[in-house]
This record gives sequence, C-alpha cells and structure tokens, in this order.
Amino acid sequence: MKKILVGTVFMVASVFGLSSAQNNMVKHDLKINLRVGNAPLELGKTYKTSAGAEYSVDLLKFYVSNVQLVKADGSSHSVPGLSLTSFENAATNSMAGKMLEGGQVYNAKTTQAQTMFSISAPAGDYKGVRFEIGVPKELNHRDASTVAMPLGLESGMFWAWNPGYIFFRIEGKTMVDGKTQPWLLHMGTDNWRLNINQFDLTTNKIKVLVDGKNSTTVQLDLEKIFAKGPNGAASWDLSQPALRVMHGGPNVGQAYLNLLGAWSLAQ
Amino acid sequence: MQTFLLPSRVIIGVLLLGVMVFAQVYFPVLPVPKDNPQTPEKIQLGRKLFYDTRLSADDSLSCSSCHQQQFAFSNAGNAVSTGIRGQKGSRNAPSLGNVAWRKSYFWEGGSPSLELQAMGPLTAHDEMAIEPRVLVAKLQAIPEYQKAFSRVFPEGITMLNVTKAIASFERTLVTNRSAYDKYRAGDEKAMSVAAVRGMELFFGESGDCFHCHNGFNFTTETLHNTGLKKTNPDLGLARITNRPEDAGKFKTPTLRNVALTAPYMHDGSIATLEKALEHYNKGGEDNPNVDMLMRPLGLSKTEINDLIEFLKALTDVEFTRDPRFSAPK
Repeated sequence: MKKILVGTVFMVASVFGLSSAQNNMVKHDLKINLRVGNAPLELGKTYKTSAGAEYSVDLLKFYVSNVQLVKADGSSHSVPGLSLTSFENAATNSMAGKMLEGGQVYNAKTTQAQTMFSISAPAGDYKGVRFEIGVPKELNHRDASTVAMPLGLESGMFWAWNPGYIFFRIEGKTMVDGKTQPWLLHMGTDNWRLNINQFDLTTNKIKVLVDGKNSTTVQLDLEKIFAKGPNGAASWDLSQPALRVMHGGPNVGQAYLNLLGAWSLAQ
Repeated sequence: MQTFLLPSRVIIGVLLLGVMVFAQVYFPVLPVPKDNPQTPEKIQLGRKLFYDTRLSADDSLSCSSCHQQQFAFSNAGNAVSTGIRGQKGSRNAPSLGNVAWRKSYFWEGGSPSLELQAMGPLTAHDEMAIEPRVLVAKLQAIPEYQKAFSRVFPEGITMLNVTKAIASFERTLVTNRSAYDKYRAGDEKAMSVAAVRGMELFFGESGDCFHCHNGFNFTTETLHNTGLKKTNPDLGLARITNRPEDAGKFKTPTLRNVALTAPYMHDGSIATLEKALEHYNKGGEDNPNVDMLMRPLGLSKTEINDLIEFLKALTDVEFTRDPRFSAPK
C-alpha cells in the first residue's frame, strides 16, 4: 500500500512514545474562537478594516502541528499529530460543514469553541500551550499524491506551484471601486510557519488544567490580519491588488507578523 | 519483365512514415510514471475531463479554455488567463506540446509532475477555482464519469485520479511533425533557404539562442532572468526560494510551435516574434538579476527575419488538427 497514512504514523509514534505516565493520559481538546475584534466572526458578514475597507470571510483553513503543553519547569509535553481545521461559509460552498474523509479534519458551521486539535497528555497543571500553524518540514515536501488526509490533494491545501502546502488559508470578498472582488491570503513554505506561544512561566496568569474534563480555547482575531501594511504603512490596503491576493510573495512578511499577533488565549 | 511503378501517394506515405519514425527515434522515450501507466481508457477519460467545463466552480471553464489546440494548446493570443467570473491571472498559459518531457511545471518550475501540476489551475481562485472535494462530489453525481472512472481506477473518483487521467491525456500531446523535423529527417526541401540560414544563426554563437533553447524540445529546462523589465514584479523562482537573486527567473519554454503561441514571456507582455527577437537582440533591460547570457547581439534586420523563418519552421500544423487531441464528440 503506497499511501502513507499520516494519522496512523502519528498514532504509532505516540504509542511508542508513551512513558510510565500512560495510565494517566487524558484527552484535552484545543479549541478555537474566531473573532473580529470583540465579536464572534460570522462567515459571510461584512466587516471593515481599520483603514475602512469592507471585507467578509468565506473560508478559513489551517494546519495545526507540533502541539506542546508547557510545564512549570519550562519543559514541555509534545503531542504528536497534525490536524486540518476548516471553516466554510455554506452560502458560498455547497460542501461546507461536511466532514472530510480519512483524517483529523473538522468543519464548523459556527466559529466558536470548535476543536482544532485533540490532545492526549498526562493529567496535570500546565503553564500554557504552544503550537505551530503549518505542516512540519518533514511532511511538507513529500509527494502529495502519495499521502492521505489531512495532507494530500483532497485537502484543498496542496500548493500546486510550490512543493509544499498552504499552512494558513483565508478567503473572502472585499469592495474595490464599488465592485465586489475576492481577497485571499495563502501562507505557506517553511519560512512562514507560525509559532504560537500561549504560556507564562513567570506569573500564574495562564493555567491549563488537563484533567479529562476541561479544554483550552485560543482566539484568533481576524481584524488583526489587517493591523499594519508592508513597508511601514499604518494599515493593510485591500484596494491594492498585491495586498488583496497573496500567495506568499514580497508582502508575506508583514502578513506573517500581523497574523502572529492575532492569537490569544481565551479567558 | 514487368515494371512496377509505385503510386506517388504510396511513396509519399513511406517517406512520411520514415519522417515520423525518425522523429520518434530522435525524441527520447515518452516518460511515464510507474504509478500512472498510460492506458487507452485512461487517456480517453483524461481527454474528456480536459475539455469538460464542469471541472470549474461555475461550469464556465475547462483546461481547454486556456490551452486551445489550434494554438498548440496555448491561450489563443491572450497575454494572461481569464479565470471564473472574468478574473485575470498574471501568467501566460504555456503550450502543452511535448509537455510529458518537461522536467518541472509552472513558470518557476515548482511542480514536479503533470499530475500535481493539474491541481494548480483546477483550484486557483482566479482560474477554475474548484475545491477538490467539491469537484469529486460533482463528478460522482455524473453516471458517465462514475462508469468511466470505475473502468480505469479501482478506487473510482478521487482528486488524484482526476489529475492522473488529465496527465495521461496531456502526455499524448506529442508534437514532432514540423518542417524542422522533416528537414532533420533528411528532407532538405522541408525548410526554406531563409529558415536554414535562421537555423544556423539559432545554433551559432551569433544568434546565441541554443544555450537555453536546445535539445529535441528546444529547452534546456533551466531558469533564467532574461531582463524583461528593469524590476521583477513577478518574483518567479524567488517565490519558492526566497532568494533575491532568483527574482525574475523563469523556466525556458519550448519553442516548438512558437509561431502559434503569441504573446510571449511568462506574462505575455511581448506581442510578436519580431518584438521578442528585438528584446533579445537588445540584450534585455538592465535588470539586477539579468542572466549573463543576455547581451546585445547586433543582429541585422535580415538575420532577425531569418531567425523568425526558422522559428516558423517549428510549427507542427498536424498537431493542431490531430483529431486524437480534439474535444471528444
């Protein structure tokens, strides 16, 4: 069988990686709230950037990998696995909300408290969580035609012109000169893997209780994607074609920084 | 003693067969991936998919919309492709002639196989813009495709099998019956005197075309910055490598059927062969990454015309009319 079952690989890896803590392993969901400022994101609803440009979001998909629970001594418990989370607007995608086959893939009709990664970890108090938005380098460059979901061609994240995957994909609409135009940001390649750190070793402000009952929820504020423009510009100008449609490219660095600052831990 | 006179049609037929056999001899063996062998049924399925507009999100475009047979499977004179809802792309759709032999795909060469390349135009928002699982569901609802896929692939309709079938059809798009091929096979009258002069310039240091446009498919498969503009608004190879020195580098296209595939360059910004040759004769624009091979050539008007005659001799008219490659009835 040629297909490399990524999920299976990780499951096997996790089995062999178990320590004496095996009996104390419990499930803990890493969830996400999608926000626009202080409000929950509504797919398809029109919002405004700080520069006054109208935009809506119809699709958001991203990979989560390299999840770690951070311990009080600064070490961490690594959780193997890779997940693909997808939020799709049913008005623009007939398949929205339908579970994909063969992988750790979630689709959501709502944008709040949706599980984006299922953690299995020793029960305990942790000082936070860190994870990456992206596909690990060792998986990112395999032949996409030989791997299964959540990678592979069916994922909708394979970047055909580039050997690798889109890590973070957001698409919607904006208005330019009175006309509706698509806007999108596709971020990928090994240079632009997002490291999200939500832990605190010096104060007790962040606590992650892994007891099989609770979950941890992070927030992604999409308004912050437009926080600053490239080359020192005060805001992201969606009227510029080069900033409205981005498949990597010269402005991706600022988009990366904006996105990096868009994550927080839900209180 | 009876004398046999062969009808002229038979003689011509034998000569043509000889040309075709020769052409196939000097072409390398058709490269076919082990995990996607060519079969007649798969090729026909791929041909059907290639011409089917239902592969786009709004049923408006097929692969053939931007790769038209009469233009050697290029984009009918358009500088860039027009996707669904009239969206303009930024690149010129290349000819698919002899595409099986290309070492990599897309202008920056980022895709290693025809199978994976097909994902690009199918899913790009400004091209056919269809989500893989939406396409699979769409095809699964069409009984004709259900039957055709089940005959070819044990697992039926999947995204990978869609691209495998399209790639199989594309591998059949062999173009090797140009005047140049016939000349090379021994028919000295196949090319005009001017075209022969142009060929000598092309393969000589004075014309200097051959350093990049060489081999049976007139490409060395390498990437170059040809000084198209003073800056590099399209990053080209640097989009993959993130190296500034790779900005504006693009793959060398084949020149087979080049007279049919205007406009030229990765962005379709040069309208005619004459203007393309003027660009190279000038040595390109003063771009920081311009290739060291780009230099003023000092070719005369007559020499440029001879080069154009040679480039026209690379046209394979039969390829543009071959019913095996046309839309299925």
